Amino acid sequence: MNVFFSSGVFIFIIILSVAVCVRLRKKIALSKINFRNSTKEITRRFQDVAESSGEWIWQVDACGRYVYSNSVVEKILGYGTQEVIGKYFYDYLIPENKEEIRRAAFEAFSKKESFINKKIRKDGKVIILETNGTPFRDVKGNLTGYIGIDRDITERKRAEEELMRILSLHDATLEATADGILVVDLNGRVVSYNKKFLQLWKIPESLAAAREDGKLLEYALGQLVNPEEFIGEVRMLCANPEAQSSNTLRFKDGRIFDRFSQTEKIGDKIVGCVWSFRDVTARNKAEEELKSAYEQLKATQLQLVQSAKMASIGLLAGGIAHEINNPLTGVLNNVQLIRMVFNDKQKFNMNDFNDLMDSIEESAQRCARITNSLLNFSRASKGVFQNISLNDIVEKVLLLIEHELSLENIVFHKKLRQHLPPVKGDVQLLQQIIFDIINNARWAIQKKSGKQGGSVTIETDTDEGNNSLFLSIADTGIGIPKENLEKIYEPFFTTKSAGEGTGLGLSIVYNIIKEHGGKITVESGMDEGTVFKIVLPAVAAQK
Amino acid sequence: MYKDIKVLVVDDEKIVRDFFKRLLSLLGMDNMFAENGYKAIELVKNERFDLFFIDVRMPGLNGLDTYREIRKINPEAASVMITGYAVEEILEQAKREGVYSAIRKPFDINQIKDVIESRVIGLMEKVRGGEKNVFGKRSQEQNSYLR
Repeated sequence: MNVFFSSGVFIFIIILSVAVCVRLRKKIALSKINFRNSTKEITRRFQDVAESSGEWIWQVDACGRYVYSNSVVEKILGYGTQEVIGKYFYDYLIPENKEEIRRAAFEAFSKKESFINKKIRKDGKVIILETNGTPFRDVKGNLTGYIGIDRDITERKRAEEELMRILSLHDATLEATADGILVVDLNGRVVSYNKKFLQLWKIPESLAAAREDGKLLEYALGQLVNPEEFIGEVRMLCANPEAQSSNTLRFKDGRIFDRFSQTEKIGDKIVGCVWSFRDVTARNKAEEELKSAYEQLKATQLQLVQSAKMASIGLLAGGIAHEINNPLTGVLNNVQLIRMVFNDKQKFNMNDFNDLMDSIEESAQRCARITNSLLNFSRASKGVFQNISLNDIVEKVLLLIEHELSLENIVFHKKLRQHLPPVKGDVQLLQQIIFDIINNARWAIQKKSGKQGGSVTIETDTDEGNNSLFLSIADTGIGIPKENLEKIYEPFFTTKSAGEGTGLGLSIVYNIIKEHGGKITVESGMDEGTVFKIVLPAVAAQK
Repeated sequence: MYKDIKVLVVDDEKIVRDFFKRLLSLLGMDNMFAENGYKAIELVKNERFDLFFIDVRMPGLNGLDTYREIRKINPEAASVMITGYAVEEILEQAKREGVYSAIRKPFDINQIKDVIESRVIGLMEKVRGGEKNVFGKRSQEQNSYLR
């Protein structure tokens, strides 16, 4: 019985157990179905979310093979979702560092870090992506793959690179410039500077690195001859940030800087000021040297004119002595004649006596005129411009030269317009140019006709209304070949043989006329004679 | 004695010619004038002169060339070169070519008188030596002094 009972209990337990088991199994099976359904749901929902995202969302298996990709992949890689599934993510990496990136990728995934990589699109274009991935495990914790996002950062990267390039270009420019550059903000704080700035101002790196603007300013001011002036400038610029300014800074050590400042703007907003400093010590010195050389040259030129005049006087000495000695004979001999008559107690005809006195007086006056002209001509120019008569100058030069040239059978024809307005000029210099041109005419006539001589025609008149006057000097000489016409004003250009001329005459003439605000033109040809025409501004008549 | 001498003055300068005219007239000498070498040569072709005063520097024909031309026509005449400016080479050359004398301007009236006197004495000596036709003025007749 016990056995029976026992067996019954056992069977009951078995049946119960089976029933429980069946139930449990049913429950388990149900929960499995539920679980399966919910996983699918989650996946579906995940995919829905993934599809609606603007980013490329993917899932790879443990080996890195795409098992899922949303359709954004097509936008990014150019491949469709189906084309990607089954491919390894590293299949799309650029070949240069494929292996390296592949390894780095798995490491980054495990650390849940992002990494930058370059992939090749279907159309061959290389794009830059930022990839984020995270390991994906099953319930048992086994790694089944990775899930992640790729963002196309090509444009951002390019913009960054461009910015870097601009910045480095900016830095390079800043450093490459010969000027010292300092950038300050609106509050006067130092924003940036280049090495040249430190060099120019002899600022130690340590002081610059400390970025203590007060100390920096103090250090800089200590070097200036006139620091107050500089501070004034700085204040002025702070008060008027729009102002563009420049000035010269003098240093105690003798250096000179040009300072220039310009506002720095972002858009329309002033954010600071760029100061540039340039060491112009050498340039200033060169400029001063140039100026002094120019002054010296000017003085030399005046000396040269003077030497040329003195040489002319030497050339004229014979003629001038003759010119003076003739009237002197008239004075001396006529006086002796009177004495002779008186001594011989001869009866003197009063008419003759008056004639004699007239002759003496005229002779003496002629002597005076010639010596005055000579003195006037030989006097060194002081560079003083005054109102003068062009005709008067012509007459004075002719007084000295006319007789001398007449000995060479050179005849002067004067066509001087009377009542000309004056010109503003230097008598000595203008006499010299007339003399030089006549002297050239004389040489040209001798060259062509020898003792036969020729003629020189001097004409003065107004030119272009009454605003200017002209003086033309025409000769019947040998003329200037066309090819030489452009060179005649060049210093040392001459066709005369050594000893006949220095080649300086016309270059001096040219400079003198330029100094008088006039111009000189020449018309000539071989055997055609030469005409020099000088135009000088007339002094306006006073109303 | 000056009256027997015939003088030609060649100078482009009127002042100088005027002075000679007065002096030579006062001395009672026969005088003629030319303002350049060409005119002088024309005169010499027609008349005989005893003495010439010739300016060295003249337009056209210069003094030395004038002297050379005159001498060709009137070889026995004496020429005195006068010059306002001493061109030594020209004066040296003139002396080599036999000019009588050279005087520089401004000259003393006595220098002129002296040279005239010396010329007159020279001519007189020639007369005494029996030479005929010594004085230009008296070439066709006896000179007053000798008479």
